[in-house]
Amino acid sequence: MTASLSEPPLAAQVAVRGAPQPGFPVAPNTTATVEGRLVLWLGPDEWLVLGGREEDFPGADAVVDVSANRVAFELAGRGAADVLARGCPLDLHPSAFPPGRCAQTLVAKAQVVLHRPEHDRLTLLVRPSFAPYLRSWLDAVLRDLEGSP
Amino acid sequence: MRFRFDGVEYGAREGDTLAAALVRNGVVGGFRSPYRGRPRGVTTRDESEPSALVQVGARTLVRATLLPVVDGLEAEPLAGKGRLVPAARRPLESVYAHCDVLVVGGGRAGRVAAAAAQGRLVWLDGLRDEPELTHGRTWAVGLYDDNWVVALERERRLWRIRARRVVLATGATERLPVVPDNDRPGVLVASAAAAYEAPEGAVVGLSGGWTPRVALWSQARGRLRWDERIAAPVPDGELPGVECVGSATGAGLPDAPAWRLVAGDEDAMFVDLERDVTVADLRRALRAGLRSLEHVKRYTTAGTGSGQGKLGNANAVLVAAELLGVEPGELGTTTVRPPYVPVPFPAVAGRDRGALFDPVRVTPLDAWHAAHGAVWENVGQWRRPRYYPLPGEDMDAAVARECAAAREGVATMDASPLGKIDVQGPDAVELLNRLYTNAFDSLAVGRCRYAVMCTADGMVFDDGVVMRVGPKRFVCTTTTGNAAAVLAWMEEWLQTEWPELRVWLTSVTEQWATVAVVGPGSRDLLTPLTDVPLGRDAFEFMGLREGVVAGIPARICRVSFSGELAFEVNVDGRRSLGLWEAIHAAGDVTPYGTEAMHVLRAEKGYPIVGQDTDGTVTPHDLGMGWIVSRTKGDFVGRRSFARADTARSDRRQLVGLLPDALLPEGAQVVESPVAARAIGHVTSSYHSVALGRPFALALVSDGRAREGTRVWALAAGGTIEADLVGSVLYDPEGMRRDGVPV
Amino acid sequence: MLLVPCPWCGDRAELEFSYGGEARVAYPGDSDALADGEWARYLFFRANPRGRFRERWVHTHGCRRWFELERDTETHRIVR
Repeated sequence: MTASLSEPPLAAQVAVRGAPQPGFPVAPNTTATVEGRLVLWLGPDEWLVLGGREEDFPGADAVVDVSANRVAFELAGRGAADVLARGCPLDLHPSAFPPGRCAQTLVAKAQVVLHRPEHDRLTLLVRPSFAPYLRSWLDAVLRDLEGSP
Repeated sequence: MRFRFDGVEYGAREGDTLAAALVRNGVVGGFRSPYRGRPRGVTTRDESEPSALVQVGARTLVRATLLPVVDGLEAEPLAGKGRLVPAARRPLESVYAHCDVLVVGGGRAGRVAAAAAQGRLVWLDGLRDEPELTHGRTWAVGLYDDNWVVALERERRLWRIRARRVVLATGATERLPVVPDNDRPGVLVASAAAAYEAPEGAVVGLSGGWTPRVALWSQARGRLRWDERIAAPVPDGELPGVECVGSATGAGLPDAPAWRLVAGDEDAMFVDLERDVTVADLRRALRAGLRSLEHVKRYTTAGTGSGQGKLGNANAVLVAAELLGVEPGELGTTTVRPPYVPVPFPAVAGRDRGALFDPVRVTPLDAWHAAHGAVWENVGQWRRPRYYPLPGEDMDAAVARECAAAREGVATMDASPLGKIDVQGPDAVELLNRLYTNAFDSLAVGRCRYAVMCTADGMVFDDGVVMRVGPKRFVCTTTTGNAAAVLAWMEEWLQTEWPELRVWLTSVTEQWATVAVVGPGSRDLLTPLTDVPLGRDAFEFMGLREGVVAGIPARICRVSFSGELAFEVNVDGRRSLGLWEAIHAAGDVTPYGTEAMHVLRAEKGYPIVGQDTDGTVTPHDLGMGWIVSRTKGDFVGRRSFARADTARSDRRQLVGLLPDALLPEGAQVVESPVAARAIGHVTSSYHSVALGRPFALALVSDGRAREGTRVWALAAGGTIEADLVGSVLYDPEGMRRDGVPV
Repeated sequence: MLLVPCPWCGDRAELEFSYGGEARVAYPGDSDALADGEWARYLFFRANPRGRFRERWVHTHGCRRWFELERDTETHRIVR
């Protein structure tokens, strides 16, 4: 059971609010790719777009540049979900959280946006102020799992 | 395998529990009872064991019947009470799991249930360790709401399992009959005596019948009914998503042996061996008039040991019924509560300990602060610099220097933890009008306004600065500790009361880092760094400008929490270190921390929500009646200002105190050195460099009418006298906010 | 720990939510028309029944939506 942890850089992030824009996912906790950008459903009137600028969504009810609001961690490998199961109450079984899904939940005591781009890859978006805490927590769990049956 | 028990070495076989190994070695005693010191020995072969409790290193109250012998094991007998040994144990794991079916119990009924299970299966057993179990040697310790099962694996991992369906195949445990000297070493329940390989004649097996293991069912509020055939409680009725199977239901268990209280020494007829409770104790409780089993339990302590009455509770019911001359079923049963077996605290704590006990939130400038010797203060979850001592400085000296820099030169503070909420949409003004006490129609784009928010009862909830960044767009700042609560509060009103408003709220707390540049020299320092004209007339107090500072796009507010000329520069959090370093490179700039910030604002009488207020303070109590609009229509809290209680004149009001010595925060304020009734309390207290003396803010009954009088504050060992004055102690005319010649 | 049905995100663990008290305690439209006692009832008085209770929750760590559900205060079960 192994997983590797990295901190992939994020370019821009934009919060788009109100009515859904063309191509945006409307099913809760799903994602879509619109014009090459990943769009995550965060609420019935809230989406997070990875990439772009406020000006790119002139038709939206509200648009906010949140590029500095979250940073990313990525767990890759067959044990990725097992690492998160040490602190995340969400059911991460592929039948309940298949690739392409996203969710807002807790990992340990940090609020995260969770995204599963592929079966063995999980991305965590977290407020930068929580990042050192979450990094320490993930490192500790990874250390433990290396030596456990 | 070799192991040591009570200092003596013995041999054991692979797969032995400590209890099995002891009995095979002829050690049928070796233990003592907790209160009466009677010799005891292994009595059972399961988790109901009342006597064979051992200490293994830091692990305490371990049942010998559940402890697998490993080579070199060292166990010490315990007399019913645990021993805490401080030990640096590595954190225990805690794991969430989800399944369709959770089967508790690896016996025959559990096997059938597991074989029939559809979907994802968790199958656990506390005693067994067979490969077909998904979780061997794992105890389900609690069955909570909506099939939330907490399970302990080998005292090293705590599972939190959500199951669609729970099957309790927990079996039954054999009782010891209540007869004289039933606690003698070598007296075992019959099934244990038969299973252990004791030397010839060393043990005798007795049976008092069988008790279904109904603890988890009862924890989950499943009803119990007394089954006369087996003389024990069995599950009754239904629980959604929970099912009992096999002997846990009582089915298939042998009839209870006929039992009557025999004549004899009732002081030696044990009902609960772990608590040394006898028939004589039960008789005393009943004679004292107790009837409810719950009362009898508390009076005698029967069933309150670490085994929680697994062995003795059914016997207690039988004996009490006999003594009272009633049927056992009439007495009911006591309520079973988690945990089913003891859970070590480290397992409950999991990783939430030490540095990971709670998140430490840091700003993007954290590393700079650390490198410059910051002494930290926790503000909510945030780690903020409290002060930056130079070599040889204590806190007082550092804070005095930082305050002087802000009042006489240039000082900077990292104000990034301030909450920030982007408010956008055509109804943004309307929402703010309804939530804050002041009005926003007249706030122009490019202007800021200090604003207060109250709860519906009229009490101050939060304060901050509202910036109008566009015709339909605002950014509201909140106090650091209240950021999440304020956003939740605004969403609550918006979503539940005013869903028709077209406005959207987005947290941008961490999008923007905020650097406060404070002091009479701040304008001159920043001017060469920015394209924004900072002159007195070009950039008015409470103005807001967008521009570039040190090459970084910035939003600058001319607000002041110190009374001095000040600029709060907001930039993309990722670029804030560049801003901060550029400012520090531009001149003689002193970083200051939260302590100096507190002193500076208190000198000006600016309250801090949560320090000078406590949920019982109105804006009027703070002397801020001016911030409450009388013209804009309804807003949250408005109606309450007309309630008799909020309108009375003798409410506690914010005032200043000039004491003879530094006052303790929280000190009660009295009218005379001998007065018994407090008229108020100290909310903030500091030494002021600018005033050259200690000062304080206090909430005092009818305080404004008392200005000019003397009061006393209670301090350790006596009282400290103080002049009661207005709350603004420094620059009351506000001459300094536009800057003074350096 | 309850399994709380968020109308948007589905069943989620209770620790993702915050409790919001009795549902449908509407903000009085014309509060000036209320006597102090009536206003105090709005501020401070809430039902506390044994049995079914309509209450508000918010998915704090999820989609941030407020919603209503019915819970039996005697069994602590959410009525589905």
